[in-house]
Amino acid sequence: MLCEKCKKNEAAYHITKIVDNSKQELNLCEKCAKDLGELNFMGNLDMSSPFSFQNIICGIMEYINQPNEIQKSYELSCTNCGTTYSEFKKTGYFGCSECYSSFACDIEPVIKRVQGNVRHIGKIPKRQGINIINKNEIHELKTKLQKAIEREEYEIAAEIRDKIKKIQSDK
Amino acid sequence: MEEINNIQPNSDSLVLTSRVRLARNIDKIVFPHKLSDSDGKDLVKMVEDAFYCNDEYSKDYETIRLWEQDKITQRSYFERHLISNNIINNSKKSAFIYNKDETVCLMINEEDHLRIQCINPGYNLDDAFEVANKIDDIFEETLNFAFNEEYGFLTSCPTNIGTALRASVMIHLPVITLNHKMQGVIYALSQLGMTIRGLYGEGSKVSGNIYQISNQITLGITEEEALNNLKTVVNQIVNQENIAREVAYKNYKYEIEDRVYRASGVLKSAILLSTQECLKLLSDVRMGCEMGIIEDINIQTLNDLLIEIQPATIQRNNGKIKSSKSINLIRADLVKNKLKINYKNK
Repeated sequence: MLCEKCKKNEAAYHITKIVDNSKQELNLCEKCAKDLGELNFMGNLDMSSPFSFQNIICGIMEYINQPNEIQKSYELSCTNCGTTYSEFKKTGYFGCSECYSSFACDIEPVIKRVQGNVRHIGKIPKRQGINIINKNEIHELKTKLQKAIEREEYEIAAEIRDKIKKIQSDK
Repeated sequence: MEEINNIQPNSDSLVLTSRVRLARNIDKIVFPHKLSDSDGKDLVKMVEDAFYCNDEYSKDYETIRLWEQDKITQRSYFERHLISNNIINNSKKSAFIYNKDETVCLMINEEDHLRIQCINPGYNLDDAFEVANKIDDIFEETLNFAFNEEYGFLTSCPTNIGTALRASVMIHLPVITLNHKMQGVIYALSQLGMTIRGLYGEGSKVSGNIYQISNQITLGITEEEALNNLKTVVNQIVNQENIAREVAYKNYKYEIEDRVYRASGVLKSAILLSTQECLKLLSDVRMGCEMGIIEDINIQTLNDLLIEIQPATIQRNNGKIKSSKSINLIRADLVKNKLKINYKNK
Protein backbone atom coordinates (compact mmCIF):
# COMPACT_ATOMS: atom_id res chain seq x y z
CA MET A 1 0.00 0.00 0.00
CA LEU A 2 1.32 3.44 -0.89
CA CYS A 3 1.31 6.43 1.42
CA GLU A 4 -1.88 8.42 1.02
CA LYS A 5 -0.14 11.75 1.24
CA CYS A 6 3.00 11.60 -0.88
CA LYS A 7 1.84 8.56 -2.90
CA LYS A 8 5.49 7.62 -3.36
CA ASN A 9 6.66 5.57 -0.41
CA GLU A 10 5.25 2.40 1.06
CA ALA A 11 2.81 3.20 3.88
CA ALA A 12 4.38 2.05 7.12
CA TYR A 13 1.91 3.57 9.58
CA HIS A 14 -1.77 2.83 9.71
CA ILE A 15 -3.43 5.31 11.96
CA THR A 16 -7.00 5.16 13.15
CA LYS A 17 -8.36 8.31 14.71
CA ILE A 18 -11.70 8.88 16.29
CA VAL A 19 -12.66 12.51 16.05
CA ASP A 20 -16.11 13.56 17.27
CA ASN A 21 -17.32 9.98 17.06
CA SER A 22 -16.38 9.58 13.41
CA LYS A 23 -13.67 7.13 12.49
CA GLN A 24 -10.86 8.29 10.25
CA GLU A 25 -8.18 6.05 8.82
CA LEU A 26 -4.81 7.16 7.53
CA ASN A 27 -2.11 5.15 5.79
CA LEU A 28 1.14 7.03 5.76
CA CYS A 29 4.84 6.51 5.15
CA GLU A 30 7.19 7.27 8.00
CA LYS A 31 8.20 10.70 6.68
CA CYS A 32 4.65 11.96 6.13
CA ALA A 33 3.50 10.56 9.45
CA LYS A 34 6.25 12.48 11.21
CA ASP A 35 5.54 15.62 9.20
CA LEU A 36 1.88 15.49 10.06
CA GLY A 37 2.69 14.96 13.70
CA GLU A 38 0.62 11.80 13.81
CA LEU A 39 3.32 9.93 15.62
CA ASN A 40 3.61 10.92 19.20
CA PHE A 41 6.50 8.68 20.13
CA MET A 42 6.75 9.57 23.77
CA GLY A 43 3.05 10.24 24.15
CA ASN A 44 2.29 7.55 26.67
CA LEU A 45 5.75 7.51 28.21
CA ASP A 46 6.33 3.89 27.48
CA MET A 47 9.67 3.12 29.09
CA SER A 48 9.91 -0.31 27.53
CA SER A 49 11.62 1.08 24.45
CA PRO A 50 13.99 -1.13 22.49
CA PHE A 51 16.84 1.27 23.19
CA SER A 52 18.59 -0.64 25.92
CA PHE A 53 22.10 0.39 26.87
CA GLN A 54 23.46 -2.71 25.20
CA ASN A 55 21.90 -1.63 21.93
CA ILE A 56 23.33 1.82 22.28
CA ILE A 57 26.80 0.55 23.13
CA CYS A 58 26.74 -1.77 20.15
CA GLY A 59 25.85 1.22 18.00
CA ILE A 60 28.71 3.25 19.43
CA MET A 61 31.17 0.43 18.88
CA GLU A 62 30.12 0.02 15.27
CA TYR A 63 30.68 3.71 14.82
CA ILE A 64 34.05 3.96 16.56
CA ASN A 65 35.63 0.83 15.21
CA GLN A 66 34.71 1.22 11.59
CA PRO A 67 38.05 2.48 10.23
CA ASN A 68 40.19 -0.14 11.98
CA GLU A 69 38.13 -3.00 10.84
CA ILE A 70 39.37 -2.99 7.28
CA GLN A 71 42.94 -3.52 8.44
CA LYS A 72 42.00 -6.17 10.95
CA SER A 73 41.85 -9.51 9.26
CA TYR A 74 42.32 -11.67 12.34
CA GLU A 75 39.77 -12.09 15.11
CA LEU A 76 40.73 -10.83 18.56
CA SER A 77 39.72 -13.15 21.38
CA CYS A 78 40.14 -13.21 25.15
CA THR A 79 42.95 -15.44 26.39
CA ASN A 80 41.03 -16.40 29.54
CA CYS A 81 37.50 -17.17 28.32
CA GLY A 82 37.72 -17.23 24.54
CA THR A 83 35.11 -14.53 24.00
CA THR A 84 35.73 -12.88 20.64
CA TYR A 85 35.63 -9.16 20.10
CA SER A 86 32.84 -9.48 17.58
CA GLU A 87 30.84 -11.39 20.19
CA PHE A 88 31.23 -8.46 22.58
CA LYS A 89 30.29 -6.05 19.83
CA LYS A 90 27.15 -8.02 19.16
CA THR A 91 25.92 -8.41 22.73
CA GLY A 92 27.54 -5.51 24.61
CA TYR A 93 28.66 -7.97 27.29
CA PHE A 94 32.16 -9.13 28.11
CA GLY A 95 32.88 -12.80 28.83
CA CYS A 96 35.06 -12.37 31.92
CA SER A 97 37.13 -9.83 33.80
CA GLU A 98 40.19 -10.62 31.64
CA CYS A 99 38.35 -9.41 28.54
CA TYR A 100 39.05 -5.88 29.73
CA SER A 101 42.81 -6.41 29.25
CA SER A 102 42.46 -8.64 26.19
CA PHE A 103 40.54 -5.96 24.30
CA ALA A 104 42.17 -3.02 26.08
CA CYS A 105 43.05 -0.96 22.99
CA ASP A 106 39.67 -1.35 21.36
CA ILE A 107 37.47 -0.71 24.34
CA GLU A 108 39.06 2.47 25.64
CA PRO A 109 37.26 4.77 23.18
CA VAL A 110 34.03 2.85 23.77
CA ILE A 111 34.28 3.30 27.52
CA LYS A 112 35.09 6.96 27.04
CA ARG A 113 31.91 7.38 25.04
CA VAL A 114 29.74 5.49 27.48
CA GLN A 115 31.18 6.77 30.73
CA GLY A 116 32.89 10.05 29.95
CA ASN A 117 35.79 9.88 32.39
CA VAL A 118 38.14 6.99 31.96
CA ARG A 119 39.68 6.58 35.38
CA HIS A 120 38.20 5.02 38.47
CA ILE A 121 38.28 7.27 41.54
CA GLY A 122 35.82 5.41 43.75
CA LYS A 123 36.22 2.65 46.31
CA ILE A 124 39.30 0.45 46.28
CA PRO A 125 38.91 -3.00 47.86
CA LYS A 126 40.66 -3.04 51.24
CA ARG A 127 42.44 -6.38 50.98
CA GLN A 128 43.08 -6.84 47.26
CA GLY A 129 43.73 -3.20 46.60
CA ILE A 130 46.17 -2.62 49.47
CA ASN A 131 49.05 -1.91 47.08
CA ILE A 132 47.01 0.64 45.18
CA ILE A 133 45.86 2.27 48.40
CA ASN A 134 49.48 2.48 49.64
CA LYS A 135 50.70 3.79 46.32
CA ASN A 136 48.08 6.53 46.31
CA GLU A 137 48.90 7.44 49.87
CA ILE A 138 52.62 7.66 49.15
CA HIS A 139 51.88 9.79 46.12
CA GLU A 140 49.77 12.12 48.24
CA LEU A 141 52.43 12.29 50.98
CA LYS A 142 55.17 13.02 48.47
CA THR A 143 53.20 15.99 47.17
CA LYS A 144 52.81 17.22 50.74
CA LEU A 145 56.50 16.65 51.37
CA GLN A 146 57.43 18.73 48.33
CA LYS A 147 55.22 21.58 49.53
CA ALA A 148 56.64 21.43 53.05
CA ILE A 149 60.17 21.64 51.69
CA GLU A 150 59.22 24.60 49.49
CA ARG A 151 57.86 26.37 52.56
CA GLU A 152 61.03 25.39 54.45
CA GLU A 153 58.99 23.61 57.11
CA TYR A 154 61.63 20.95 57.68
CA GLU A 155 60.14 19.48 60.85
CA ILE A 156 56.87 18.73 59.08
CA ALA A 157 58.82 17.45 56.09
CA ALA A 158 60.71 15.01 58.30
CA GLU A 159 57.44 13.70 59.76
CA ILE A 160 56.02 13.13 56.31
CA ARG A 161 59.24 11.41 55.20
CA ASP A 162 58.97 9.00 58.13
CA LYS A 163 55.35 8.24 57.25
CA ILE A 164 56.36 7.40 53.68
CA LYS A 165 59.17 5.15 54.95
CA LYS A 166 56.75 3.36 57.24
CA ILE A 167 54.29 2.58 54.44
CA GLN A 168 57.12 1.42 52.20
CA SER A 169 58.53 -0.88 54.86
CA ASP A 170 55.10 -2.35 55.68
CA LYS A 171 54.69 -3.65 52.15
CA MET B 1 7.11 -6.06 51.71
CA GLU B 2 8.03 -4.91 55.11
CA GLU B 3 10.48 -2.22 54.26
CA ILE B 4 7.77 -0.31 52.48
CA ASN B 5 5.44 -1.01 55.39
CA ASN B 6 7.65 0.90 57.72
CA ILE B 7 7.40 4.20 55.91
CA GLN B 8 5.85 6.72 58.18
CA PRO B 9 3.20 8.81 56.46
CA ASN B 10 4.93 12.01 55.53
CA SER B 11 3.41 14.53 53.21
CA ASP B 12 6.79 16.14 52.59
CA SER B 13 8.28 13.12 50.98
CA LEU B 14 7.15 11.65 47.70
CA VAL B 15 9.92 9.09 47.77
CA LEU B 16 8.68 5.56 48.42
CA THR B 17 11.99 3.74 48.65
CA SER B 18 15.72 4.34 48.23
CA ARG B 19 17.88 1.63 46.71
CA VAL B 20 21.61 1.11 46.29
CA ARG B 21 23.25 -1.77 44.49
CA LEU B 22 26.88 -2.71 43.96
CA ALA B 23 27.92 -5.08 41.18
CA ARG B 24 30.86 -7.41 41.84
CA ASN B 25 32.46 -10.22 39.88
CA ILE B 26 34.92 -12.92 40.79
CA ASP B 27 38.26 -12.42 39.09
CA LYS B 28 38.87 -14.55 35.97
CA ILE B 29 35.66 -16.59 36.25
CA VAL B 30 33.45 -16.15 33.19
CA PHE B 31 30.45 -13.86 33.69
CA PRO B 32 27.03 -15.43 34.38
CA HIS B 33 25.81 -15.39 30.77
CA LYS B 34 28.79 -17.62 29.88
CA LEU B 35 28.57 -19.91 32.91
CA SER B 36 27.17 -23.41 32.48
CA ASP B 37 24.30 -24.31 34.80
CA SER B 38 26.52 -26.50 36.97
CA ASP B 39 29.35 -23.95 37.16
CA GLY B 40 26.72 -21.35 37.99
CA LYS B 41 25.50 -23.45 40.89
CA ASP B 42 29.10 -23.87 42.09
CA LEU B 43 29.46 -20.10 42.06
CA VAL B 44 26.28 -19.74 44.11
CA LYS B 45 27.86 -22.07 46.67
CA MET B 46 31.09 -20.07 46.64
CA VAL B 47 29.28 -16.78 47.30
CA GLU B 48 27.13 -18.40 50.00
CA ASP B 49 30.23 -19.75 51.76
CA ALA B 50 31.87 -16.33 51.66
CA PHE B 51 28.78 -14.73 53.18
CA TYR B 52 27.66 -17.27 55.76
CA CYS B 53 31.17 -17.66 57.19
CA ASN B 54 30.47 -14.35 58.90
CA ASP B 55 28.10 -15.84 61.50
CA GLU B 56 27.31 -12.66 63.24
CA TYR B 57 26.25 -10.74 60.20
CA SER B 58 24.51 -13.48 58.26
CA LYS B 59 22.31 -15.01 60.95
CA ASP B 60 19.05 -13.44 59.75
CA TYR B 61 19.63 -14.29 56.12
CA GLU B 62 18.27 -17.05 53.94
CA THR B 63 19.15 -18.32 50.46
CA ILE B 64 16.50 -18.87 47.79
CA ARG B 65 17.75 -20.94 44.86
CA LEU B 66 15.70 -19.95 41.85
CA TRP B 67 16.04 -23.36 40.19
CA GLU B 68 14.06 -24.79 43.10
CA GLN B 69 11.18 -22.32 42.65
CA ASP B 70 8.25 -22.38 40.25
CA LYS B 71 7.62 -19.52 37.83
CA ILE B 72 4.87 -17.84 39.86
CA THR B 73 6.98 -17.80 43.01
CA GLN B 74 9.94 -16.38 41.08
CA ARG B 75 7.68 -13.70 39.67
CA SER B 76 6.30 -12.80 43.09
CA TYR B 77 9.84 -12.15 44.38
CA PHE B 78 10.26 -9.82 41.43
CA GLU B 79 7.01 -8.01 42.24
CA ARG B 80 8.27 -7.45 45.77
CA HIS B 81 11.27 -5.61 44.23
CA LEU B 82 13.59 -8.18 45.76
CA ILE B 83 15.02 -9.49 42.50
CA SER B 84 15.32 -8.39 38.89
CA ASN B 85 14.07 -9.78 35.62
CA ASN B 86 17.63 -10.67 34.61
CA ILE B 87 18.12 -13.06 37.48
CA ILE B 88 14.85 -14.84 36.61
CA ASN B 89 16.12 -15.32 33.05
CA ASN B 90 19.12 -17.10 34.57
CA SER B 91 16.98 -19.11 36.97
CA LYS B 92 18.70 -22.43 36.17
CA LYS B 93 21.86 -21.18 37.85
CA SER B 94 20.88 -18.15 39.94
CA ALA B 95 19.99 -17.57 43.58
CA PHE B 96 19.58 -14.79 46.06
CA ILE B 97 20.30 -14.31 49.74
CA TYR B 98 17.97 -11.98 51.61
CA ASN B 99 17.19 -10.87 55.13
CA LYS B 100 13.87 -11.15 56.96
CA ASP B 101 12.79 -7.57 56.58
CA GLU B 102 13.70 -7.69 52.89
CA THR B 103 15.94 -4.65 53.03
CA VAL B 104 19.00 -6.54 51.78
CA CYS B 105 19.11 -8.86 48.79
CA LEU B 106 22.30 -10.40 47.42
CA MET B 107 21.65 -11.59 43.90
CA ILE B 108 23.96 -14.27 42.56
CA ASN B 109 24.36 -14.80 38.81
CA GLU B 110 22.27 -11.92 37.69
CA GLU B 111 24.06 -9.94 34.97
CA ASP B 112 27.11 -10.03 37.25
CA HIS B 113 28.23 -12.72 39.67
CA LEU B 114 27.11 -10.75 42.67
CA ARG B 115 24.82 -7.81 43.10
CA ILE B 116 24.53 -6.39 46.58
CA GLN B 117 21.24 -4.57 46.85
CA CYS B 118 19.89 -2.59 49.80
CA ILE B 119 16.46 -1.02 49.81
CA ASN B 120 15.40 1.40 52.50
CA PRO B 121 11.92 2.77 53.06
CA GLY B 122 11.49 6.46 52.36
CA TYR B 123 14.23 8.79 51.27
CA ASN B 124 17.39 7.36 52.74
CA LEU B 125 20.16 6.63 50.25
CA ASP B 126 23.05 7.08 52.67
CA ASP B 127 22.03 4.31 55.04
CA ALA B 128 21.34 1.99 52.11
CA PHE B 129 24.84 2.67 50.79
CA GLU B 130 26.43 2.15 54.17
CA VAL B 131 24.89 -1.30 54.51
CA ALA B 132 25.83 -2.29 50.94
CA ASN B 133 29.38 -1.07 51.48
CA LYS B 134 29.71 -3.07 54.71
CA ILE B 135 28.50 -6.26 53.00
CA ASP B 136 30.94 -5.60 50.15
CA ASP B 137 33.77 -5.49 52.70
CA ILE B 138 32.64 -8.80 54.20
CA PHE B 139 32.73 -10.47 50.79
CA GLU B 140 36.04 -8.92 49.91
CA GLU B 141 37.69 -10.58 52.90
CA THR B 142 37.45 -13.94 51.17
CA LEU B 143 36.50 -13.43 47.52
CA ASN B 144 38.84 -12.13 44.84
CA PHE B 145 36.91 -9.49 43.00
CA ALA B 146 37.62 -8.40 39.44
CA PHE B 147 39.15 -4.98 39.96
CA ASN B 148 41.72 -2.88 38.20
CA GLU B 149 43.16 0.45 39.07
CA GLU B 150 42.05 2.21 35.93
CA TYR B 151 38.53 0.84 35.45
CA GLY B 152 37.65 0.06 39.06
CA PHE B 153 35.30 -2.89 39.56
CA LEU B 154 34.92 -4.82 36.32
CA THR B 155 31.42 -5.80 35.27
CA SER B 156 29.98 -7.85 32.47
CA CYS B 157 28.57 -4.73 30.82
CA PRO B 158 30.94 -1.74 30.57
CA THR B 159 28.13 0.65 31.51
CA ASN B 160 28.65 -0.40 35.14
CA ILE B 161 32.44 -0.36 35.57
CA GLY B 162 34.13 1.92 38.08
CA THR B 163 32.18 2.11 41.30
CA ALA B 164 29.65 -0.36 39.85
CA LEU B 165 27.16 1.50 42.00
CA ARG B 166 23.63 2.15 40.96
CA ALA B 167 21.53 4.23 43.32
CA SER B 168 17.86 4.84 42.71
CA VAL B 169 14.75 6.20 44.31
CA MET B 170 11.14 5.30 43.65
CA ILE B 171 9.15 8.47 43.42
CA HIS B 172 5.50 9.39 42.93
CA LEU B 173 4.99 12.24 40.44
CA PRO B 174 1.30 12.47 39.50
CA VAL B 175 1.01 16.19 38.82
CA ILE B 176 4.21 16.56 36.78
CA THR B 177 2.91 13.64 34.73
CA LEU B 178 -0.56 15.18 34.44
CA ASN B 179 0.97 18.44 33.21
CA HIS B 180 2.91 16.58 30.50
CA LYS B 181 6.14 17.83 32.02
CA MET B 182 7.82 14.42 32.31
CA GLN B 183 9.49 14.85 28.90
CA GLY B 184 11.37 17.84 30.28
CA VAL B 185 12.36 15.92 33.40
CA ILE B 186 13.60 12.99 31.31
CA TYR B 187 15.64 15.31 29.10
CA ALA B 188 17.16 17.19 32.04
CA LEU B 189 18.05 13.93 33.79
CA SER B 190 19.81 12.52 30.75
CA GLN B 191 21.89 15.70 30.54
CA LEU B 192 23.01 15.11 34.12
CA GLY B 193 23.99 11.49 33.63
CA MET B 194 20.86 10.12 35.29
CA THR B 195 18.08 8.01 33.98
CA ILE B 196 14.41 7.49 34.71
CA ARG B 197 12.43 4.29 34.39
CA GLY B 198 9.16 2.68 35.32
CA LEU B 199 8.04 1.09 38.59
CA TYR B 200 9.99 -2.11 37.94
CA GLY B 201 13.24 -0.61 36.67
CA GLU B 202 14.95 -1.27 33.38
CA GLY B 203 12.58 -2.00 30.53
CA SER B 204 9.43 -1.59 32.61
CA LYS B 205 6.46 0.57 31.82
CA VAL B 206 5.48 3.50 33.92
CA SER B 207 2.41 2.71 35.90
CA GLY B 208 0.69 4.48 38.73
CA ASN B 209 2.81 7.61 38.14
CA ILE B 210 5.67 5.97 40.01
CA TYR B 211 9.11 6.37 38.54
CA GLN B 212 12.58 5.12 39.32
CA ILE B 213 15.35 7.69 39.03
CA SER B 214 18.94 6.45 39.06
CA ASN B 215 22.51 7.45 38.28
CA GLN B 216 24.00 6.35 34.99
CA ILE B 217 27.67 7.31 35.22
CA THR B 218 29.84 4.97 37.30
CA LEU B 219 33.40 5.67 36.17
CA GLY B 220 35.47 8.68 37.19
CA ILE B 221 33.10 9.54 40.01
CA THR B 222 33.22 8.52 43.66
CA GLU B 223 30.38 6.73 45.41
CA GLU B 224 29.63 9.81 47.51
CA GLU B 225 29.52 12.07 44.46
CA ALA B 226 27.12 9.75 42.68
CA LEU B 227 24.82 9.67 45.71
CA ASN B 228 24.99 13.42 46.19
CA ASN B 229 24.23 14.11 42.54
CA LEU B 230 21.21 11.88 42.70
CA LYS B 231 19.99 13.49 45.91
CA THR B 232 20.34 16.98 44.44
CA VAL B 233 18.32 16.00 41.41
CA VAL B 234 15.65 14.20 43.41
CA ASN B 235 15.27 17.19 45.74
CA GLN B 236 14.65 19.43 42.78
CA ILE B 237 12.11 17.10 41.24
CA VAL B 238 10.28 16.76 44.57
CA ASN B 239 10.23 20.52 44.75
CA GLN B 240 8.83 20.82 41.23
CA GLU B 241 6.12 18.29 41.95
CA ASN B 242 5.14 20.08 45.16
CA ILE B 243 4.95 23.44 43.42
CA ALA B 244 2.91 21.94 40.60
CA ARG B 245 0.55 20.42 43.18
CA GLU B 246 0.10 23.70 44.96
CA VAL B 247 -0.69 25.53 41.74
CA ALA B 248 -3.02 22.79 40.59
CA TYR B 249 -4.87 22.75 43.91
CA LYS B 250 -5.25 26.52 43.91
CA ASN B 251 -6.76 26.57 40.44
CA TYR B 252 -8.57 23.25 40.27
CA LYS B 253 -9.46 22.44 43.86
CA TYR B 254 -12.76 20.66 43.08
CA GLU B 255 -11.39 18.81 40.08
CA ILE B 256 -8.54 17.39 42.12
CA GLU B 257 -10.74 16.50 45.07
CA ASP B 258 -13.21 14.91 42.69
CA ARG B 259 -10.47 12.80 41.16
CA VAL B 260 -9.13 11.66 44.52
CA TYR B 261 -12.55 10.78 45.99
CA ARG B 262 -13.71 9.06 42.82
CA ALA B 263 -10.59 6.90 42.86
CA SER B 264 -11.13 6.03 46.50
CA GLY B 265 -14.80 5.30 45.77
CA VAL B 266 -14.01 2.94 42.92
CA LEU B 267 -11.32 1.14 44.91
CA LYS B 268 -13.75 0.63 47.80
CA SER B 269 -16.59 -0.73 45.66
CA ALA B 270 -15.33 -2.23 42.39
CA ILE B 271 -15.98 -5.92 41.72
CA LEU B 272 -13.28 -6.35 39.07
CA LEU B 273 -9.97 -4.46 38.95
CA SER B 274 -7.16 -4.85 36.44
CA THR B 275 -3.57 -4.19 37.57
CA GLN B 276 -3.25 -1.07 35.46
CA GLU B 277 -6.54 0.46 36.57
CA CYS B 278 -5.78 -0.35 40.16
CA LEU B 279 -2.33 1.26 40.00
CA LYS B 280 -3.78 4.35 38.42
CA LEU B 281 -6.47 4.69 41.09
CA LEU B 282 -3.98 3.99 43.86
CA SER B 283 -1.89 6.85 42.50
CA ASP B 284 -4.88 9.22 42.69
CA VAL B 285 -5.62 8.15 46.24
CA ARG B 286 -1.93 8.40 47.18
CA MET B 287 -1.88 11.93 45.84
CA GLY B 288 -4.94 12.67 47.99
CA CYS B 289 -3.15 11.33 51.07
CA GLU B 290 0.09 13.15 50.31
CA MET B 291 -1.80 16.40 49.85
CA GLY B 292 -3.86 15.90 52.97
CA ILE B 293 -7.14 15.76 51.05
CA ILE B 294 -8.12 12.39 52.45
CA GLU B 295 -7.14 11.29 55.89
CA ASP B 296 -8.97 8.01 56.27
CA ILE B 297 -6.37 6.03 54.31
CA ASN B 298 -2.75 5.86 55.30
CA ILE B 299 0.25 5.71 53.01
CA GLN B 300 1.43 2.43 54.53
CA THR B 301 -1.74 0.69 53.40
CA LEU B 302 -1.18 2.04 49.89
CA ASN B 303 2.43 0.84 49.91
CA ASP B 304 1.31 -2.66 50.91
CA LEU B 305 -1.28 -2.65 48.17
CA LEU B 306 1.25 -1.68 45.48
CA ILE B 307 2.78 -5.11 45.90
CA GLU B 308 -0.21 -7.18 47.00
CA ILE B 309 -2.21 -6.32 43.89
CA GLN B 310 0.51 -7.53 41.50
CA PRO B 311 -0.64 -10.56 39.49
CA ALA B 312 1.93 -13.19 40.51
CA THR B 313 1.64 -12.18 44.17
CA ILE B 314 -2.14 -12.68 43.99
CA GLN B 315 -1.67 -16.01 42.21
CA ARG B 316 0.84 -17.18 44.76
CA ASN B 317 -1.36 -16.22 47.70
CA ASN B 318 -4.49 -17.77 46.23
CA GLY B 319 -3.62 -21.31 45.24
CA LYS B 320 -2.03 -20.33 41.94
CA ILE B 321 -5.24 -19.49 40.10
CA LYS B 322 -4.80 -18.89 36.42
CA SER B 323 -7.51 -16.84 34.71
CA SER B 324 -7.01 -13.11 34.62
CA LYS B 325 -10.70 -12.63 35.40
CA SER B 326 -10.42 -14.41 38.72
CA ILE B 327 -7.25 -12.47 39.46
CA ASN B 328 -9.16 -9.24 38.82
CA LEU B 329 -11.96 -10.43 41.08
CA ILE B 330 -9.59 -11.27 43.92
CA ARG B 331 -7.71 -8.02 43.42
CA ALA B 332 -10.87 -5.92 43.78
CA ASP B 333 -11.87 -7.83 46.88
CA LEU B 334 -8.42 -7.47 48.41
CA VAL B 335 -8.31 -3.73 47.83
CA LYS B 336 -11.84 -3.25 49.13
CA ASN B 337 -11.17 -5.14 52.35
CA LYS B 338 -7.87 -3.46 52.98
CA LEU B 339 -9.28 0.04 52.51
CA LYS B 340 -12.44 -0.68 54.51
CA ILE B 341 -10.64 -2.22 57.45
CA ASN B 342 -8.46 0.81 57.37
CA TYR B 343 -11.52 3.00 57.44
CA LYS B 344 -13.04 1.24 60.43
CA ASN B 345 -9.87 1.59 62.43
CA LYS B 346 -10.01 5.32 62.20
